[in-house]
Amino acid sequence: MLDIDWATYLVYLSMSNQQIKGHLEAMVLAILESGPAHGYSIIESLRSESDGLFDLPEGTVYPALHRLEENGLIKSSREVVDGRERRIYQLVPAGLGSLKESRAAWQAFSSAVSRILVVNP
Amino acid sequence: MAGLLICSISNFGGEPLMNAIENYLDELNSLLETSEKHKKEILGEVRDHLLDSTAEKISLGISSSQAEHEAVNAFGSANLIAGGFNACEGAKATKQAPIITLLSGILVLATFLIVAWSQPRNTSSASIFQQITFFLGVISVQVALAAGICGTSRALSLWKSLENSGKDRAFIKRALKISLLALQIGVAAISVNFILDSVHNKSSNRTALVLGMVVMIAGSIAGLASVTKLRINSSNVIQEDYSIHSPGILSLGERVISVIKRHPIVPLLFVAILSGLSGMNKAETSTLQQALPWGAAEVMATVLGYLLIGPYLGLREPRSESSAFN
Repeated sequence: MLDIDWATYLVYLSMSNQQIKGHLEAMVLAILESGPAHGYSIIESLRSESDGLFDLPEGTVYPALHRLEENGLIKSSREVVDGRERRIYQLVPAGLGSLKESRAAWQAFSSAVSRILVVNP
Repeated sequence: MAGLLICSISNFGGEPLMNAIENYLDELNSLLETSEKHKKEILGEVRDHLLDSTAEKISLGISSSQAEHEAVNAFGSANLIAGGFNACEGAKATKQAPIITLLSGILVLATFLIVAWSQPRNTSSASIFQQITFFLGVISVQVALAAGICGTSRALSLWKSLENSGKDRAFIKRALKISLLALQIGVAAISVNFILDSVHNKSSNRTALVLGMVVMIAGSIAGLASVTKLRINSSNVIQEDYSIHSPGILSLGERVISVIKRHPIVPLLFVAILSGLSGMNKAETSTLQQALPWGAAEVMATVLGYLLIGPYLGLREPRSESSAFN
């Protein structure tokens, strides 16, 4: 379950799919931080971790994964999962570094928005 | 939901919905603009996902044909997904294009310098045709340099970016093709100049001239052909059309160009005067009086080049376009 405060939740609600797409790579890296996964389980995690808030077309995760791999932030391998060969993605050190930068940037952004949007009682 | 019902009803007694996944994959295959090997990987991965998604829906009690259809719908339109993959391929190509252009330019320049160094000094004034061809060659190389810098600076600003738009990719491809085309024209003009020089100058090293011409022409043609062949995929089918530019020094070139675009007079005057003086210096004439027209011609060519080609290189604001840095 995603643990967020109301201010951040309001920011999420106001974001269009376009804006979510801009953060998709960072969220994919965050999911891979828990361990290697294939595309289907990544999109399932995105949906469940956001309580259904992130409802992008499922296929959009694959170009994001390919972009991340192209930029050396993740790597892929073919493995047999449930009797079928799948492409499994895992985070590499450069990806972990990028994820930390994304987290710091998001913290700074959401704190600034919260300070402006949330009215103190 | 109504759409799904209509779809399933209309398919009773007709083509079964079991082909929904294969039809989708066929459509995706026709829209992808990547290498065959990459296409095969993508389609395999997409098929795996759709089969997983279908299996999950069947486990929830949905019929297999309906589950397949829903899985395809949830995946996203083939246009959208193919656009994402094509943009990824395009991003890779926009890194290769400036490197190819630079290598082509270096090869031509190095060859020209070697050939020029290998020639004995010609003390007599060049004929008018030699002067014209040399002037054309220099102007073309200046255009090639300017276009190359514009295309490369945009590519550099996107170097570490995970997202770049079809508009940016189209600009990079256009700028670098202009650069390589101008380089070819310059090479042709210089080659004619070499031929005229070998005719008028009996002591010229003809072997070096011929070899130099062949290498320069081959190098410039190979560069243009390679960049044209790259899958830069400027037709961005995704509706959102934005780039995330790299911070810091990688975007320095773009910021400078943005300043030039907003305040063009001073940089244009500076470049035009420099071109004029350079033109007079390079003019193969005996007197300053004879060199002056070439200097003036360089100034005019620089201003005209800015007016005509500037909008295509992002140096001048056309009526409808704007840069990401404005």
